[in-house]
Amino acid sequence: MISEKELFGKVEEAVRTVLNTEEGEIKKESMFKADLDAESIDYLDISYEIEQRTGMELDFTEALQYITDRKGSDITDISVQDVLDYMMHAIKEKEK
Amino acid sequence: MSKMLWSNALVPGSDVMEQSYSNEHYGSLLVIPKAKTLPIEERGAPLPDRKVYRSMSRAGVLLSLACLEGRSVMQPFLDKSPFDIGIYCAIENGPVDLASAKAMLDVSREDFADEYKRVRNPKLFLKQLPNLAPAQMAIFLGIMGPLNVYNHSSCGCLHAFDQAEIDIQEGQVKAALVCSAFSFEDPIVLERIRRKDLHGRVLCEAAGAVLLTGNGSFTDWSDHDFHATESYYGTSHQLIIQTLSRGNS
Repeated sequence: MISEKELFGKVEEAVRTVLNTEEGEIKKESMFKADLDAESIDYLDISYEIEQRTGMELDFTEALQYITDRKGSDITDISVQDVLDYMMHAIKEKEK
Repeated sequence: MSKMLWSNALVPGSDVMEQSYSNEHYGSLLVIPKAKTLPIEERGAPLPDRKVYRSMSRAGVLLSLACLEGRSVMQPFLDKSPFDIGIYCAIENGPVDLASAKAMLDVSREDFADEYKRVRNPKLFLKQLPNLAPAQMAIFLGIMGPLNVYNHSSCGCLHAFDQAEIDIQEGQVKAALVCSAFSFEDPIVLERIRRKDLHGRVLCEAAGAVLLTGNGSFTDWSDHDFHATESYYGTSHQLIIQTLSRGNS
């Protein structure tokens, strides 16, 4: 199974490709809207780039549901760590 | 004639080596013997929004770079009203996604939908829309006047100049930003140019912009020999030649 560190490397690269940020600017705690200036249309693009790198389909609606179940439905922004948590969860579910 | 308040032409400089151009997907079927590209990388282009390169064609990026140079000249008009400047842009459709088309070759009918979803960049269709490039540039500059886009392959710039002259004369706009960009994104466009328009000239990527205001008379921008040139700038040719011959300012 892919480690979280490896997964972060791939997700970071995918997000960096879409948002055109500098290397090192994206951290696990970075918030997509507040810190990275991402817009809703970027999520589609980010999920595409993540799929290209991991071969894993990332459904942002499903991911958001998973994250709100854990953090509350009033959240307005998600972090890179939230996406990693969802992906690790999805990988484990798939392997069951 | 209308008054040219400002102009800018982005063309490959003398430091850019002339070389033959071919497309990776067409190979020897498409070779432009003499070509020059602009040494600008879309991802690194200094645009106000760093993400926008993902949804803009290369021509779109070049267009914005050429027009943004004139911000200080346009600002006094925009301060009075953002609707006072009209945009008259000659630009062709953006790139065809040959990379994903290649990846989808030999895919069975059953697997096509999955493969399409997997290899297709979700923003690529945005790059193909010619109107998006000048619209994005207008957002960068805060221009809200009429947007006119011409994608005639070889006369787009002349159409743009003509409409700009008419709109200035009729008082539709206070100033006209006539602009154009040409890049090597679509191999079919390049092949058409090679067969019909090149005549031994060097094919060059380019982008240009001109800001016009009225002075009571009509300028015929087609009154120039556009064939006797060493370089050819695709759909941007007439605007670039006019700008270079009248001098960047």
